[in-house]
Amino acid sequence: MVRNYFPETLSEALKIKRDDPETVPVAGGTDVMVSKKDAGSYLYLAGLKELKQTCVSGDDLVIGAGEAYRELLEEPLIPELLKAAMREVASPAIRNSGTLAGNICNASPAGDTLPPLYCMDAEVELSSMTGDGQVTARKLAISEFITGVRKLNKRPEELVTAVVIPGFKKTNGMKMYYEKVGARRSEAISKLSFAGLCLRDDNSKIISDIRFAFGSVGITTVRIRDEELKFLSAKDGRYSDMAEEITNDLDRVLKPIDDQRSTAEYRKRVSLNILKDFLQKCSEGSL
Amino acid sequence: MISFTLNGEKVESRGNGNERLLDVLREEFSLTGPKEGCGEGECGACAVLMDGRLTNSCITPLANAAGREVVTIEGYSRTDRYRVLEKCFAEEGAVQCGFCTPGMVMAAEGLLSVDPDPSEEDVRLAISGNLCRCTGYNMIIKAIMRASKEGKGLW
Repeated sequence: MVRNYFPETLSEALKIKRDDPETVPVAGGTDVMVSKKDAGSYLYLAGLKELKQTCVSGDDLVIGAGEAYRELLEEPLIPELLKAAMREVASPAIRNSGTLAGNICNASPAGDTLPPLYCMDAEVELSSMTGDGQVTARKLAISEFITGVRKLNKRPEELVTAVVIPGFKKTNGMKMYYEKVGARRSEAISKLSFAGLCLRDDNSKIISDIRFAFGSVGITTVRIRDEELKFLSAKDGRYSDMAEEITNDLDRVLKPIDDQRSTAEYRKRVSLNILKDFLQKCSEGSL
Repeated sequence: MISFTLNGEKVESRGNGNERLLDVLREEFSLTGPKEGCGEGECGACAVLMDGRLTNSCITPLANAAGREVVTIEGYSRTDRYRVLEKCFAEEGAVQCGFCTPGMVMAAEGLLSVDPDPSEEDVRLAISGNLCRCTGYNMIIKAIMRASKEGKGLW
């Protein structure tokens, strides 16, 4: 007999997760319901008001884990780069139900929202209840939270309760770039995707910050801070020369595979072309 | 028991929370308007409205309908809005085999209820999660555009 839990508060949900750690959390259900294997136990979170809040806390933007794409697309606080990716997720009906936190927890190499979240140094808030009923929370960088294909760095008793964008106002001040390549416009799992952010002073033409991340070209989203810093270190603003070097470096780093959606060769070639285009636009200030 | 509002009436389902809303609608409540096409949220033939928003009932656990307002094509067909869509679908030739039609009509309502005066691009986006293997879509798009004009004031 399948066990179904309908918690009415977050603390009740955390208690259930502590006492039945194998229970599968369900928010919109759009991934869980497609998975062919039945779990013995489900914990339904869609009704929890505590997870349906998005607010500013200091410099951070805190996005409730129960927020569906549709709600976030209507929320003015959400960074445009993240919105650009969310608009490309699946279809209108799925965007009405599916959640941002669910996209993270699904830990697919092709997760549409992951490259923007990596660019923004997003963090995942994990909450749990101790034996004596205390609720505790910790935060992990998204790159430490997702460790492989469908693999999460999460203790069994923990629930993801929020997605945090630290220093989101600074991020919102940066120019953005987003590209998803899929077989059709809607309902397409990406062949590859790319997100980039750039902060350039138009007077001095100096780029003071740059971030870029690739989806569907490795077991997790690929973002390499050292390469970004290398680009920023270009002497006398000669970013174009540096762009070539960075592209060559990434040619060695990206390790896509052949699968039913695309080939390794196509994925690498197009990803590098997009990177080149992004770096060129950053250099020229034409983003 | 899981209770929700179904086509305007309060109902209780005997189903388990992890059952697909689609199966509950079709088998327990004998509402066969929502169809199973792909069974994985790709085709939109199972689409219903939940609290006014387009939802694929094949990937919605019954649990998520608790306390919500679910409207299927059967309930929607009793509205004036439906009658405008029905007429425009018929006159534009937007229905051939009819399997996708309930989902298409629900997708049209999902759009028009928030955007009563959509562009063609808006309509294309709104039905982008609904597959039709007969019409090639153009007639459906024309029908929805026409309904938005003929039904002015209804949405």
